[in-house]
Parts: sequence; structure tokens; C-alpha cells
Amino acid sequence: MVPAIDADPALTAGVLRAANSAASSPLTRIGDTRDAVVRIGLRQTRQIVAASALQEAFPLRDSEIEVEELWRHLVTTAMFAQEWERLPVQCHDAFTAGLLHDVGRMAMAAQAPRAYAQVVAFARGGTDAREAELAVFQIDHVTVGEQIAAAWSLPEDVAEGVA
Amino acid sequence: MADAREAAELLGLGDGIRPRATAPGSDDDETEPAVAPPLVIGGDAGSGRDAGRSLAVAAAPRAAVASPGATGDATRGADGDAELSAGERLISKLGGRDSVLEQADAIYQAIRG
Repeated sequence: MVPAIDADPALTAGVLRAANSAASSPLTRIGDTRDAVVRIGLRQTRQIVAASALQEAFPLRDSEIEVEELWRHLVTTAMFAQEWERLPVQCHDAFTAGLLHDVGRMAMAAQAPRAYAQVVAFARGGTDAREAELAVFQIDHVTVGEQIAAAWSLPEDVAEGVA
Repeated sequence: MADAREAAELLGLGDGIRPRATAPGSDDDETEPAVAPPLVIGGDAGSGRDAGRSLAVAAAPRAAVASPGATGDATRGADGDAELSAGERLISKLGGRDSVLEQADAIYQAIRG
């Protein structure tokens, strides 16, 4: 995992930031990826890698989505999915499923940010977001998410979380 | 996944799209439901292109109030003992609201660049 992280500057920076964060409380500043992974653990490293990859895949500029709020929503949902005792998937798959549960919406917003800004405006006016998506795009984010899950050949359990 | 979403909503986290939920009686609580403007399909909304191809989408009430026990399958005993909803159990399992938000913040701060 360390060579893969080292090959991506954004990932490296993210893992180092997490390792040096107040939550990790390192005694000395960590500047090496391997030390950072040891510090934060494989579980959090996986979470950061998954979230970072998703963020890079779907930049949400100009879509009027409140990006920070969306990401906190995605990350907490993923964390809860991971802890959900009834979810019949392995830990890392559950986190991924939670993280991807709005991937259709992210794809729509990344692909057509101005059109998605219309959806956001209507949703903030009280219109159901899926109805607004159907009206603007003639397709909603759940269907797009299912198509992405199929195109990416996601495991069935993860794909169910996207739907 | 629905339980995980419910737990996130119980923390008051919005999804970046819809109006953020507000606690009942708070300063932000809006009692009047919002009314959506007509939706224009195709072209640029408001530009006049494709005029007439508009669809009025029925207004939906504002987001449901997110407060512990307000959603999910929570039931409360007469003696005040709480049988927690799935969402509340998840929050508790992760160490409570502050712990969850702190863990989520650590991941978010790592990826925000």
C-alpha cells in the first residue's frame, strides 16, 4: 500500500495530514508515508485512499453543491455503514458502499455542473431532489449510480448500497 | 444503508443539496413549507429557450427535523428508558456524536487538499 500512496502526491499529503493531525497526536512530526500508515492504521488509511480517489474522480466545482457538507455526510454515512452490524459485507466494502451511496449524484454534478446547479436550486426551494434531477436530466442519481456500479463492476453488496 | 443515512441525519449533517435540517423551535426552524419555482426542462432555465416545455414540480415540505428520536424506529418506554433507533445505536457504537464528528473530520481534512 505504501508504494501506491507514494506514487500519488495528493494521497501522500492526505495520509501525512491525518498522521500529523491533532486526533493522531504524534509525539514528533511524521514525514514518511510508512510511518504515517503505521500511525493512523490500515483502516483509516484505506478510508482516506477511498475518499481521496472518489474526490479526484468527481470534482464538484460550479455545481452549487456544498462540497464540505456533502463530504462530511458521505464520510459519516460510510463510517456508520462500516459499523452496521447487519450489513453482510466486509468492513472495507461497507465503508466503500457508504462512501459511494451518492456516486450517481456526484457524477451528474461533475459531468454537468451548471445543469446540476439547477437541481440544487430547486431542491433548496423545496422540490424533491430526485424529481428535480428527472426534470433537468431525464434521469435520477439512483439510476446513474446503478449504471456506474455496473460499469465499474462493483461487488453486488457495494452496488446495493449505491442503489 | 438506510440506517447509516439516518445516523448521519441525526447528527444534523446535510447532504450539500437540500436545506439543512433544523431542530424544532430553533431560530432556523421554518414552519412554512417552501414552494418550488416551476422547473424548466431542457435549455437554460430562464433564458426563454424551450419556452413552454416547463413542468411545475409539486413543492415538498422542508427537510424533516433531525433530532434524536425524530426518525427511525425509535420507541421509548413509559419509564423513560430509551430503546434506541438503529441510527442512534450506530452513533453510540462509534463513541457518540462528538467522537463521530471528530473521526469524520480527520478523514475530511486529510482529503480536502
